[in-house]
Amino acid sequence: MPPTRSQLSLRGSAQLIAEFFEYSIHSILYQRGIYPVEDFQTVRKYGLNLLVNVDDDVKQYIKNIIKQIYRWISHDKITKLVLVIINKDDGETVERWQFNINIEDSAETTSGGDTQTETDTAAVQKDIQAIIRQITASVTFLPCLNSSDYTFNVLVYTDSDAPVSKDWVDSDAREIENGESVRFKSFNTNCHKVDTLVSYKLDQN
Amino acid sequence: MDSSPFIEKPMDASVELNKLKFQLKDLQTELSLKKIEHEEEVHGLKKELEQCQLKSHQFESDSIYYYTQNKQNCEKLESMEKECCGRTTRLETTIDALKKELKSLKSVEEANEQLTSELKLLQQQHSMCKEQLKDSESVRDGLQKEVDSLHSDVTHWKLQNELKQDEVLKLQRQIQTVDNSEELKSISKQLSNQVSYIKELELKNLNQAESLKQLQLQKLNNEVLQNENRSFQVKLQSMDKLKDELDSTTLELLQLKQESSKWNLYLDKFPNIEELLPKFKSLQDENLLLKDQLNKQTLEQSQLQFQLNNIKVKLENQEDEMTRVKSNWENVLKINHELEQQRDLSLEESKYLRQQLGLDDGDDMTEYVKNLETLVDNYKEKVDDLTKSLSKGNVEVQQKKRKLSTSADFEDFQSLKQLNGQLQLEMSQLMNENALLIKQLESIQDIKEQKLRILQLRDNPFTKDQFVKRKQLELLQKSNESLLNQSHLKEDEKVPKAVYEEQNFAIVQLQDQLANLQKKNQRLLTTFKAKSSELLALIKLLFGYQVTLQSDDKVKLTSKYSKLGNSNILIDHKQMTLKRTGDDVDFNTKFDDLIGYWINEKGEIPMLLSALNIELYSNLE
Repeated sequence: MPPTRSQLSLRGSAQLIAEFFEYSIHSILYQRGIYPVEDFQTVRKYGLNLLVNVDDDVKQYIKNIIKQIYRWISHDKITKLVLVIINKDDGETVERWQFNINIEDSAETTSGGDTQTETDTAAVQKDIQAIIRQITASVTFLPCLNSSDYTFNVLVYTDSDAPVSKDWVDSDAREIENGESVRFKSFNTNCHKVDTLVSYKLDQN
Repeated sequence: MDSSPFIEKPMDASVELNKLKFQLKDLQTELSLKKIEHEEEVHGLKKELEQCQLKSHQFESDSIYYYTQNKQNCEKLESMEKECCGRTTRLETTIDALKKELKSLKSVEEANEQLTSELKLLQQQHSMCKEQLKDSESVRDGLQKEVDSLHSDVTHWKLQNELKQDEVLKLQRQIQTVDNSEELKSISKQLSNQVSYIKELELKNLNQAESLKQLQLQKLNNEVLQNENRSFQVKLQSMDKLKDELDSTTLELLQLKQESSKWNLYLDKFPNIEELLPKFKSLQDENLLLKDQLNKQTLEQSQLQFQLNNIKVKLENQEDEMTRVKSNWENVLKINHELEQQRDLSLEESKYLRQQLGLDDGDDMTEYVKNLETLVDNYKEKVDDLTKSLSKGNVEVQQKKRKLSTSADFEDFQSLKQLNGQLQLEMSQLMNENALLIKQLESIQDIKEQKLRILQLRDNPFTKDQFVKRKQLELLQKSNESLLNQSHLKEDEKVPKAVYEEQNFAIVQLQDQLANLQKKNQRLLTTFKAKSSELLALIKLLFGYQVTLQSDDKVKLTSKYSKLGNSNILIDHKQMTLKRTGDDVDFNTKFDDLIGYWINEKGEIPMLLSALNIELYSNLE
């Protein structure tokens, strides 16, 4: 581990990113209509009203993912998190939400003082707010999905030497061929940089 | 020509004199100023000259330094080239020699192998021939014995035949002498026996001759084999020679191996001979680089030489200018001298005029005026000449400046050219570095991608869905198959088991769906409750009544302003009734009062409720 990255700031960054992933997944599931509206509850986060799925199975599934991801981010073992929306009938991937996690080598320690970290977190929250807003606004250009025909899956790109529990199995990349891509804003903690982009299959109709 | 002021006002000679004096002084001061300017210019030019000389010295020293460096580099390069060439030629020759030796060794080895195989074959043949020879010798001995015995038999039988012939002759004589038929018969019998015996002997003799012929053939074969044997022995002898040769070649091989091991030791720097070539190539590249550097140095040297020549030309120009300036200076001095002389003359004239002014008037006056006019004209001419020379000097100075500026531009151009070259070199280096870094990045990315793992949770919504579908499909297939084979059902089986299982699975699926729907319903209920409680709170806040929905389709309204809180209004919207409950007397009387007016007269329930609240609030206050 580089000497400039303190363990404390790394954990804080991992926590922040894991939380962002959790709320992003919930928001995407709501915005893309994968689950009915009544399955979602409003919560206040990042200065926004975000919708969170209250179905126990879905909640548990996302929780399990986020718990593991937090560990992987803390040990710099993860490079991507991908949420794929799949057609139930033919198993085709129609949308691919990709979150790239880049390790920031030039990160500084948090010895700058509390005011520094406060301003940092405020700036990061502002960036996350902007990304969530972009996710919400993406409904305008993404093709319409019929909720009952689609399901989702979360893929994680890890290093080959990352510790993996029995609950996790290998998967294919589920790429979209000849799909359109839209890059969203990115945010930067002291230790990581998170890029967001969505790839989607163009509606042939 | 301008008219002189002396013509118009001849009487103001003193004023004119003063004017002339002033002009003279002015000219003198101008002259002194010019002198100073010229001195300054000369001083500046001297300084420039010194600087130029210094620069030229520097350039000369630089050029000498560059020349020496260049020379050294050339020498180094030449030596390196020679070394490289020598090395390369040596290495090439050694490689060729080694290759040739290797080839010759291989051929020798092959020849050796062939010879050994031939030797083995010959040895085998030799042993075979020896054995055959032994056999044939034994056969020959046997046959010779037989031939000898047959010869002895033949000689014996010949002797016997002669004896018999002698006996036959004797008998014929006897027959001639004794004419006895019986004896003749016996003799003829004996003779016939003898003839048959002779025939037999002849047959035997013929057989023996044939066997003799065969034996002779065998003898011939023997002789051939003996010849072959001899040739083989000769070959064996040659083989011994070849063996000697082989030994010598093996010795040579060992020596070559030793040499190759020595070479290997020498080439230990390069693990493989193949690495020698890249090294050689790198040396060639270095050589090329050095050549490039040499070319650059020569270019720089030529540029410096060119600059030096320019500087020399400039120096010469400046020297010329200096001579010109000096000549100008001398001219100016001469002019000055002349002016001084003229001043003296004018002073003397003025004295003379003063004297004359005191003495004569009339005709002398006109002459005097003419003299003065000529003097003034002379002065004017002098002034014009001086102005012309001054303007010339200015033009020369400007030309000098221009020349200087052009030389400065050239220097700038050269420096910019050098800078451009350096920047281009840097750019090419950076481009190369960039390309290398891109390659490294690609390789790193490839490695990284290879190292990456894509993971998913074993129990995810998509696999769940797929699992359910697969199971359903399997069960349907099974049930389909069993329904197709329904004819093979047992008597007690009315429905195939697979169909039953499929139905069970469908039931489970429906149960899951039902559970999901129940969950959804529950969620809807909770949201409804939450929203209705929100609404009721809002109603209480806005309208001042606590609304309670009762199970018997009645609505209970409790005012937030009632004192006791147990007085309510019950509204049955089905039967359209409105009742009050509770034992708050104040509330009851007020309600009764208000109901008469708002319901009976106006028929307005909201107004009744509002009025009641106002009354209760006023009471509270």
